[in-house]
Amino acid sequence: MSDITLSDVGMMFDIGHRKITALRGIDAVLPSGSFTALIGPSGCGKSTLLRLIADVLAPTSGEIRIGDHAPDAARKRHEIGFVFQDPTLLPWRSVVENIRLPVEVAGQPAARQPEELVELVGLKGFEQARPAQLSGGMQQRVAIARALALSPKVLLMDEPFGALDEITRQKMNIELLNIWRETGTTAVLVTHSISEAVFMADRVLVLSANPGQVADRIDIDLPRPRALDLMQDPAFHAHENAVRAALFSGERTAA
Amino acid sequence: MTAGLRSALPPALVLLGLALLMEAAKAAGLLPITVPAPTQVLAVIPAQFADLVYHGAATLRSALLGYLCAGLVAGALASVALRFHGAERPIISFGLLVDCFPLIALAPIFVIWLGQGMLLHVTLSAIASFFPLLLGTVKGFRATDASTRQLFHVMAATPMQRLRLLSVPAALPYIFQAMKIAAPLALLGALIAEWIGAERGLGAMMIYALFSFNVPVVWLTILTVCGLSALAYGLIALVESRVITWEVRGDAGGTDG
Repeated sequence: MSDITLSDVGMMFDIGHRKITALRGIDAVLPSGSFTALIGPSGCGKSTLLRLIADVLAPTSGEIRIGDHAPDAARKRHEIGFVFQDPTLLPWRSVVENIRLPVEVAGQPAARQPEELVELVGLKGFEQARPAQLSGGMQQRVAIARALALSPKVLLMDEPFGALDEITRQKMNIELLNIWRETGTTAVLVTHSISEAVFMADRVLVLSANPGQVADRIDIDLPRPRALDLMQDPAFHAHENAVRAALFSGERTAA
Repeated sequence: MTAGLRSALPPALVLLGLALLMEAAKAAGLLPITVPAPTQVLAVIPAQFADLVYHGAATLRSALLGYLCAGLVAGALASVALRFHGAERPIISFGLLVDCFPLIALAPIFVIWLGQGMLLHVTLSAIASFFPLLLGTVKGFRATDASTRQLFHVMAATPMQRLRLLSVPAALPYIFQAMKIAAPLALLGALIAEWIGAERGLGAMMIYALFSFNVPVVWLTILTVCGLSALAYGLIALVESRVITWEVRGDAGGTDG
């Protein structure tokens, strides 16, 4: 019902007199309620692709549908939650006021009470704290709670834990999986970590650079719910190797 | 309050030390006739107090009105610059041009246009304080990062919501900074206008005292303007500390009111 459908999506940027093809011929269907990871080398356009789905940018060719709607209609219906690499919290607002921001902007009743979301992301007791008083990991939890405030049909995440240390990052990933299962949203995660992509996703789209294209699509049929010990499973390693091979072949053709 | 007193103590001591030094220098005959001893200035206060209040109130009113007008025009122009990106540079250039005109030379021309009434004083006060307010507000409106602007786009915020929930709060530290710089300039603008044409105002009082070579009264008016400027700065800093309760990043932070 809120599948994300990408049909022959292309994106060109004008840089001075040159035209740069950032993305070309992207075809994919991300089923409703699934978890997809986008992985690829720097400059492969994975963040651009995420911004095309969020209607921050418009594709120069092809079509994107979120359920039955174009991205701009979905955005205006407040069906898109976006988590940036930086927490992008408003420093003058408290934790709970930051989470309430999309509700205020939409002017419609909160799908989930901000206080409840604070608890969901494990920040109970910090409701009235200002962002500057929180650690990087806690700030990013607030950003995730904010993205969930209107129960969006799609949750788009652009390397949300990229700035965090490995231990915090793995904890956050497990929490994120729990939140995703509970909300049933269609999730797309941009990452540059192979193990993160395999651990989180139902399918990994491997992009190659110059121009950004889907080099491979790897289905991850590991059981859920997933826990940290899954990372020691041979099946996990096999999937990691498959993603790595796809990334490597992409690098080779680009070189 | 104790912290406030403690921070006010060093400057007060410096001023007192300076006054004592001047007193001693005057007694030793080291100062010219145009510089009175601090006690000579103090001595004329009782006789001049009613005049000082009468003229001071006029200057304060002109400066305040001019400051408000400048703030309104700066805010409106900065909003235009925020909405239409291409307008930013022409608007800044306009502000710079206004700021570059030598006010002291411009004042007589304005007398011809506006007469010698309050309109003249308010106008020159507004011109003097306009540019810092404009620059601060424009700069403040720019103090949002690309991801946060994208966030507001994804949330489908209206332009008014963007202004109210993002641009204005983000600009406040810059605006307060500009307001502190502009307040003494507004007083200076009013003072210049009163030199050129006024029957009432500290500038007029200063000119009368100058022409009658009443040196202590000249200095009394100068010190009064200094005091009013410092007071205005301090008041704005006080409001700022109550309003800006969050940690400010970037070059708007790190002020000591």
